[in-house]
Order: sequence, then C-alpha cells, then structure tokens
Amino acid sequence: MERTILHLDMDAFFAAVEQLDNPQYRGKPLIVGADPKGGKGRGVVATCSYEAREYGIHSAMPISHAYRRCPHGIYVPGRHKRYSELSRAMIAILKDFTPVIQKISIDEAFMDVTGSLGLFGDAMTIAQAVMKRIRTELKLTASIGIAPNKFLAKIASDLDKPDGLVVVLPGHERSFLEDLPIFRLWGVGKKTEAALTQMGIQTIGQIARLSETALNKRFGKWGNALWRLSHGIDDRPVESVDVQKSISQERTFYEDTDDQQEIEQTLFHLAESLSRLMRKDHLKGRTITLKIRFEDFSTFTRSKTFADFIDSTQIIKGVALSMYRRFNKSRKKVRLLGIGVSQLNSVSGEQLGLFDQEAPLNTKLTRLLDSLQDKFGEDAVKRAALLKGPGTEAPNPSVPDADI
Amino acid sequence: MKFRVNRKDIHQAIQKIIGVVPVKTTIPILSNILFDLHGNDLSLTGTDLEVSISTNIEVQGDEDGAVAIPAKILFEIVRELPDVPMELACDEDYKISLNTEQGFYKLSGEAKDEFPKIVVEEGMGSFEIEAGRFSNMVDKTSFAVSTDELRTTLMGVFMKVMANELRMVATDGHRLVKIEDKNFQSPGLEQEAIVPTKALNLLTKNLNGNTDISVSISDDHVVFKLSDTTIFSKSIEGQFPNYERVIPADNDKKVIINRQLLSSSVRRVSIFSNSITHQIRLSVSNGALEIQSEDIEFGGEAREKVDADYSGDGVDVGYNANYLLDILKHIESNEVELRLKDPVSAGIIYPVGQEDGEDVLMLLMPIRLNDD
Repeated sequence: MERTILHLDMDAFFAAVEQLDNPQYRGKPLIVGADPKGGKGRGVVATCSYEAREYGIHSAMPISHAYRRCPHGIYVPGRHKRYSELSRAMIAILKDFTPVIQKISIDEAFMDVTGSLGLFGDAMTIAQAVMKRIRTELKLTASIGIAPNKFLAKIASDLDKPDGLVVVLPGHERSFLEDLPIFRLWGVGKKTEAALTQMGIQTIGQIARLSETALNKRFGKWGNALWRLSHGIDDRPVESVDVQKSISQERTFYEDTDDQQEIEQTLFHLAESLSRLMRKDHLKGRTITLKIRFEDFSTFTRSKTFADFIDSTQIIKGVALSMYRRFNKSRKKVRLLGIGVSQLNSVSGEQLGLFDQEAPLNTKLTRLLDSLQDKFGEDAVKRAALLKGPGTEAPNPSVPDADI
Repeated sequence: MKFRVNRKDIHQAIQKIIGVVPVKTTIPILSNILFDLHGNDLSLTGTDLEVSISTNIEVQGDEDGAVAIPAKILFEIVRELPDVPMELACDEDYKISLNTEQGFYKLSGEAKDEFPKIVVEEGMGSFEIEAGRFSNMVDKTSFAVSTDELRTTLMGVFMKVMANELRMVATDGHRLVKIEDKNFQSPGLEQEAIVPTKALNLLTKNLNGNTDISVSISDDHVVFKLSDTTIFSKSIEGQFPNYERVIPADNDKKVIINRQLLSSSVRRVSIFSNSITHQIRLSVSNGALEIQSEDIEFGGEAREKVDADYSGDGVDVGYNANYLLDILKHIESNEVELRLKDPVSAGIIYPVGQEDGEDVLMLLMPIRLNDD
C-alpha cells in the first residue's frame, strides 16, 4: 500500500530555543556546546544558529575551530532539561495528527500519516498545520519532508531548511534523487563515497543506472542496499517508540575471516566508535550485545547485562571480546561482527559510585582520546591495540552499517 | 558399588547437591554427582570447581565403590518416583542400574578418578557459630553483593574474623552494608576472606535443623560444616576495596523516619519513575520527607509526603528506588535513621535501636540530580 510519511526536523533546535528564551541572542551568531575557553576549549558544537552557520560553523565541529572562525560569537552551554521539555511539546503536537510517530532524536521525528489523510486533508495540509502550530505554540520553526517512505522524507526535510516544506510525490522518486550528491544516501560514509567517486560516480542518479549485480560485486550486500536506496525504495516502517532503545554498530568483512587478530581488532574498533558515539549523545547503557554472523549466514547474539550504566570503551571492548572468545571456540569463519548497547539512559542523572575515585585514569584517557579524535579525525590517534604490525595492509576493509 | 535406599532420602540428598552442579559447562564431568560408598555411609558430592558441596546419608550398603552419575537425569527420575525402596548398582564399566518396583533404569557414569578432587588444606583455623546468627548476617549483607563480573572482588561477602568481632561487608559499588557481631569471641583465629555469594546461598538453604556451623578459613578457601553436609568454597582472589574510607563521618543531617511508611511510599512513587533508572528524589525539610518521581519520556509524575523527625537545612537527594527498597527490606527496626550530607555524597541508613551486640550500617550513593 502506498504510504505517506512525514519527516519533521526542528531548525537549529538548541540555538533556536536559546534565542527564544534570551531575546538578546536573536539575530546573532550563537553557538551551543562546549566552553571554547578562548579557543583552547575541548569538546564540540552541539548546534549553532543560522547566523553562526554563515561563518562555516556546523554541529559536531570542535569548539576550538568554531571559536577561530567566529571569536565574537555567543557561546552558551546546553540546557537539556529545557530542550526535552520543548521536544515533548513538539511530540504532543504531532500526536494530534497521527499515533504513528517515531521520535529519532530530541529534535526529529517521523510521522506515518497514511491513516490520517481522510481526517485532516492531504499530506501538504497536515504538514502546514503542524508547522503552523509549532510556530504559534512553541515559537519555533521546523522543516518537513513528505514522501512515500522514511528515507526520502528525511532527505526532503533537509533540502529547504529553515522553515521548509518539500514533497516527493509517488512515482517521482527517481527524478527527485537524480541530481542529488551521493553523500545524501543513508549510510554512505567517507569510505563508500570515496569508492564511488573513484568509479566516477557523483550523483544518486548515476548509482541508479548501475546494475544491482555490479553494485553487489563491488560492495557485497551493501551494494544491493545502495541500489534499492538509489531507486528510492525503503520499506522500513515508522516504529512508534518513544525512547531510543539501543545503539549499535556492525561491520561486514569483505572476505569471511578466521584471522583472530583481525577479528579482535574489528571488535576493538567497533567498541571504540560505538562508545564514542554514546559519549557524544550522553548515552549510557546496561546491556552489551555481541552479534556474530558466520560464513554460512547463521547469526547469533550473546548479551550481558550489568548493574552499572556503561559508556567506557574499555569495558565494552572487554565484554564483547570475552563473549566472542567464549562463543567462537571452534574458530569458524566470521562474516559480520556487531556490538550493541541497550537499556540506555540519557534522561536522568548518573548513578554515583562509592569507589569512583579509584579508577579515574582510564576515564581521563578516554576523554583525551575523544577530544583528539574530535579535533583531528578518527584516524589521528588510536589505541595501540587497533594498530597492525609494520608493513601490513590496513585491516580488512569493511562496510560501515551504523544503525541507531 | 551397590546399595539400597529409600527414594525420599536420596531425593533430599540430591536436592542439596543439585544447586551447585553447573547447568551448562565446558567440562562435562562437572554435570555429574559423585557417589562414594563406604559400608552404610554414602557421600554425594557436586562441584563447579569454585564451590563444592558434600552430603552424607545412611544407606544399606551391599558393595563399596564409587561412581560419578549424570546429575540431571538422576535428579529427574528420582523426583518422579513415588516413595519406594530402590536399589542402585554400578558395574566395573560404570554402567549404572536403578531398580525399583516400578521398573529399571540404566545410564552411564564415569570413574571417580575423572571427578575433580576437593583438596582442603590441613590446619585451617576454624570457629563455631550459632547458625541463626550467622545466616542473619549473611541475609543482611548478601543482597548488596555485585553481580557484575567487571569487579570480581565485589562478587562476594567480605568476612573478617577478629578477636572480639565477626564482621561482614558487601557492596556493589553503589550501596554497601557493614554488619558487626560484637558478641563474637574468636578462638584465636584472625582471618579475612571474600566468600562467593553462591557458597553463602547454598549454606543458608541447607541449614534446616542445624543449630551450629563450623567455619574454617584459610588464605584461599572457606569451609562450612553442618552436621551431615560440608560446603567448600574458593575465596575470591584480590583485595576487597577500602570500605572504611568511603563511610562518611560528617553526615550532619539526621532524619528519623518510620521504616514501613517510607518503604511503602517509595514503592508507590517509584511506579512513576523512569523504568530504567528508577530514580526518585528525596527532599528533606523540617518535620517531613517528600518523595517524588517523574518520567520525562512518558509524562508520569508522583509525589508523597511522610512525617519525619528532622530540623535543619533542607536537602534534596536522588536515589535508585530499588536500591533504597532493598536496604529498607533488610532492616528490622520500626524506625530508620537517614544521615545525609549533600546531593552527591553517600547517605547512611541505620536501624534505630540496634539488635543486641549487632551493629548494622548501610550506605547508598545518590543518582546525580539534573537541577540545571
């Protein structure tokens, strides 16, 4: 059945809230994030106002870079309680139009309005009504994309920000995607982008003109996914979960492997990037899950639940590794590895520990690594365990498949 | 080996052992129970290599011998049998046959030599203690033990034997219980050990009817002896954390409150707390304690007030409701005394009016409140 999906994205959310609550910030470059400490600050930009974007500042940029570009900007720390409050109000408005809502972050949500079309008029009318209520009730603006699926709706909402409304009509998926650059495709990171550019491909339309077999040959299963996305095909349902339940990362090896060193390095790498993502989003979780797919496609998961909420690279790494060693005693060839963390906690304060002062070294090291990686990129500094011996190739290239 | 026994007796004996037999193990022999017969004395032993338990029963022995028998099958068939006399025999190939008036059952066992030997050092110092007193101390501490394999030294109860005191301490890093028996007199033994929870649970489960326990401690083992049952346990290796250092001395806000009222209030309010963190907020003010919770994601909220004996500056502290309830459940007195300092320091909870010769202290670390 033809679906009608809306993707709503609040415009420069944290910054807009600050400008709403503090009229003196309006019309000025405002950066919400870490303390820049006169250019020496660590940490990153959470959001910035459109005025600040004119200086080339964007979210996730190291705060010191932002400061260099715009030393006279207004720098404020975030007030997550206030943002959550407005985020709840935003969701409450959406709920007046459909019960099928998937909140994907504090300022973004999907709505499946297929069943509401008879009640409120066409999708355009619903989107305009939502935008109007957000403007009058919250005094904020949002951009909306309307499309037959989530993937297209999300791309569409981003095309005409701020206060934009972009519609992709059924049957026009290909022409909508035709000239868009490849990085717009869900899941295309630096590696895939580089590989595609090397093949002379710059737009999504060019991917769509390749055969599925050719893409599969070059990228494996990920190639099939690329082909489907480039044709605007995406069947994922809008899942009405109010809270983010888990966060995970997986890697598929280009060639199935039983090289233990390579497997362990991949686990280390997954733990490292997953935990870094968690710390960035202020998430900690209690259950660590290891996913293994063997060469025969049999897939298994093993989980472990702890009393503490965890975001430490060291612990996630150690637990995943010990589960792996215990599980794959026969050393079968591995096709895919994944690590997930669930039972997440982001809303409340942290449980303090009696013996917290006793293990500060690792925490300090982790924070230092995080800030260096934010500054110089993921490859700038690595734990020695992630490095291969001299003269060897880089680890088996693998397909990133982030799934939050 | 051959003996006759009543089904009921052997069933009881197996029930004592079965708890230690690992359900899944990479060492197949451990899923067996070792039967060892001398005359009319049959001993049954199970082990997971960390904790072992042995029990003796009287049977009508026909032929001495020993065999390791698959625990699960044996336990299941004996459980299903009515109370009838039965005969168990084993040939030199360790084929076991079990005969009753219902019929016969055959299974394969393993040689005694395959079964791990439980070696207990000679000359371990030991003391006797009243079973009730000992298990009371275990009950009040073991709930606070950590189940995280991340810090193995917290996965057991720390037991310290001193000249005039027996002390047990347990902590999972968020809460801590310290209990001291000041009436204790050691027969010259001064030792300490971290005892795995599994061994302590086996002990308290098998106390039925025993009035005294003999406890032996060496550097790496603890042995508990009851009249017909012995539990051997490896001590957990490593240093128990310096718990004295984390017990605050300057918590000056003393709140006295009825334990039942507090506990039922916390239970109700916690229904509305976040389902993962179970965070509640205690706000102390003159004469009252307010308990609140809210779940931002689902919009739930709850608030209750309980009368409390307090005068002084107000303070707000966040706790995990389940941790607080656990603590209140393991205190017997009608009233409890909370000693607080500030929102980020450990709170102390004492029973008001300690039991004779017993000193109990419970600590709970807060959850940081988001008050920005």
